[in-house]
Amino acid sequence: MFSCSVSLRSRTSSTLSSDSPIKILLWLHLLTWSPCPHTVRAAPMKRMPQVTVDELTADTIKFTLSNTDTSVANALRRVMLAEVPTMAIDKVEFMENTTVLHDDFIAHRLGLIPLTSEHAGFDTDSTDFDAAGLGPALSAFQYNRDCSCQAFCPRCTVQFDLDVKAKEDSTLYVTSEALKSEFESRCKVAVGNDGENAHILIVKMRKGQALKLKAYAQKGIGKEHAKWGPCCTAVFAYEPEVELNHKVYAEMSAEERADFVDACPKKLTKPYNPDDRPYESIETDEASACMVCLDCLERAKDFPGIAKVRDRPQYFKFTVESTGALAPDKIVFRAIEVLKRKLEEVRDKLASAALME
Amino acid sequence: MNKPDDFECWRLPDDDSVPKVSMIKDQKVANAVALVIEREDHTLGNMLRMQLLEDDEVIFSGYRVPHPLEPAIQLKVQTRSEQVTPVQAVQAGVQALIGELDVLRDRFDSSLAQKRREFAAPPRGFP
Repeated sequence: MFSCSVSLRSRTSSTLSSDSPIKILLWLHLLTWSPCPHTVRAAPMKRMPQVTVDELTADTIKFTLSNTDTSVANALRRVMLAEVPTMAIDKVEFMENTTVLHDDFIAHRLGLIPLTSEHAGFDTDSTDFDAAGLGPALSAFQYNRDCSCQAFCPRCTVQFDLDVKAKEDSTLYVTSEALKSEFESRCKVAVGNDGENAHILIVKMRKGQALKLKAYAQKGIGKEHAKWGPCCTAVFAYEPEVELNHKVYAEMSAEERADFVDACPKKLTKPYNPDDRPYESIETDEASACMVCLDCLERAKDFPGIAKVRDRPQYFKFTVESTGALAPDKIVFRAIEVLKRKLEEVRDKLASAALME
Repeated sequence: MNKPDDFECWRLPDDDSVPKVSMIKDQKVANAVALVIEREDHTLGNMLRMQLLEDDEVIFSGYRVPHPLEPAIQLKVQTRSEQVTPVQAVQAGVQALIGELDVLRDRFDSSLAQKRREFAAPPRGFP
């Protein structure tokens, strides 16, 4: 108790005289609130991450994540790449194939075609069936291995049909457009938004060739096979930070200053106009365009500590591009959900593992 | 052949033969535990490790992937005293991360809504 009050005294006594009644009150106040390390579990500090969406289009999203650790940013990136569930063709039955590509080759190409995966989420337990009785219309798909059915059922699988014969003399391009879903509201071939390239080429045929098959799309994750990955791109970059030491800069001559500023190959430093130099200070408007080449520091070698160029800590600029399977913002939401579920599983299983000990 | 099924890298076997989390107490070091977390990788390992290092009661925390072909990670944690066991520290860390992800999701959601209000989103090619 005594040692506790002594340490508090040093914290509060700077402005108050030793016998001030206010000070004694302060002491009492702090003593009642002082945490006792032997009973209270000091919880780790909770970070409050900040997110700003910078750009959103039909297939890409750019956002800034700050105030969190690199490990969290990286976990988010890794989950977006490999662990957000989507639908992809997993099994193919060939009825007829007289094209130049063999069955396995075509099956592989079919697998890589992005399918709309809105319903590849997590609420798999919903029992709402659609009017046609084909299957649960609102709930998410089950993993085929979790499903109670024998082989396939509408809860875990969507069937696609393809039946094409080349009857004309010209070359026939069979694209993903020919792949017809049995249940379009649940899962169908994703269509690109770039006109004539909106559909994906599967095989080219000449007159007389035919291709007839049934394909079964199922839910999976990119970790098992890349065809289930929802992203073309999921990257984060650090933001460069440039800090000028004004003391050192003040010692430089006008010529040296100009030399230092001109060293930047992107001319990002202010003042941009040579006539304005030397200014009292230089700063950068677009530090994010700095490529951390450090040419400026190299040029100003004789002035150590002139500037600090580094990655801004706890600041990440994400770019996520979708394959078309999921809207880009959905990918982010689902990735957060997947991460959370992982942690919750570990938390729950850890409790039982600790009990076993 | 001997190759395990592709899905084995992320799914536990259906027969519960593999526990998700198992614990090995360190016999030589006090307040130290090695947790083996099955079917997880650097994604979770590094995040947990860094979170544990934020905790004042934790004096050591590290993870490794013992074998690149086996989908499991090992997380070693040592705490300062018996008052906070390594398991409690991990639980607190996991809880903090879950809370952080909740904040992250909510802020992403509100920022997204704001962005959509600012610029009417272009027609979407897919849901």
